[in-house]
Amino acid sequence: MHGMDRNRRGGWLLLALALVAALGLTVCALGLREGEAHLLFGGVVLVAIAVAGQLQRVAERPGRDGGTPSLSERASWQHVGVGMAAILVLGGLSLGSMQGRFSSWLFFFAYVLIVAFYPQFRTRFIEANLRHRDLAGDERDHVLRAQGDRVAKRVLELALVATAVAWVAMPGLSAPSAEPVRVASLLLSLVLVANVVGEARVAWLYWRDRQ
Amino acid sequence: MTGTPIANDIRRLRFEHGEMTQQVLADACRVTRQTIIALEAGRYAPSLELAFRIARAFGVGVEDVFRWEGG
Repeated sequence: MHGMDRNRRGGWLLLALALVAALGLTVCALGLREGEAHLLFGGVVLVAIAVAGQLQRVAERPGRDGGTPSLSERASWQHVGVGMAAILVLGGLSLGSMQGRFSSWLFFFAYVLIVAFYPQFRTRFIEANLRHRDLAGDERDHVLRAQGDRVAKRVLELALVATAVAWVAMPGLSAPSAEPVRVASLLLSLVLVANVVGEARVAWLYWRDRQ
Repeated sequence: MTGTPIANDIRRLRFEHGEMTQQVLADACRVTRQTIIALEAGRYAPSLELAFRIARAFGVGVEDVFRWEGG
């Protein structure tokens, strides 16, 4: 009975992911036709979210030893998804989506909270899902997280350098995007991209250890 | 974390100790079951503290559980 429920849930999730991917491709096509960078970006991120969702479904299957994902592993996948959704909005803002509107500032400040309290959200997710005999984390979790943090730090450094170089080398590209909310959104997007890459690295390390 | 030079006999010791489950060992050592799985598969080298905890759970010395197999 539980198996049937799980299969039905899996089927609905797959359908939802396929719809997100289809929506992403449609938005991409629209962005290309209209020549709107933020639409093209949004479409690409939606497709990436669908791909990440499918990867998570595959990765959370029991491993060779029957090992199911730990709460920390599931938290990493959860945060890849949340991070990508935030990149969708903030990246869009930095490319001119909702330009000049009050809503752009509203979204920006809403996502400031996500970026600022990212580690706390992770801890909260794990604590909320703790069951009998589950542990919030152990030394191996800390080792894997440290590897993810190293990757995230490096990605953030490279992204900031690339942005700085682009800003100086291509003044024509950067001039129209000098609106404060766009610059601020770009900076937050870079932090989120680094965090998502770091979490994806951690999720992959967990998955590899269970194979 | 693949290819650690530290091999171990955790699986054998579990079976010699009344077929102790991975979860029971994990609880005794205050780690997750996933960490025990990773240790048994040789994909994770434990800290000195965890190595002692595991040896203590079996009532043996650390060298009876872990051995160096690097060059």
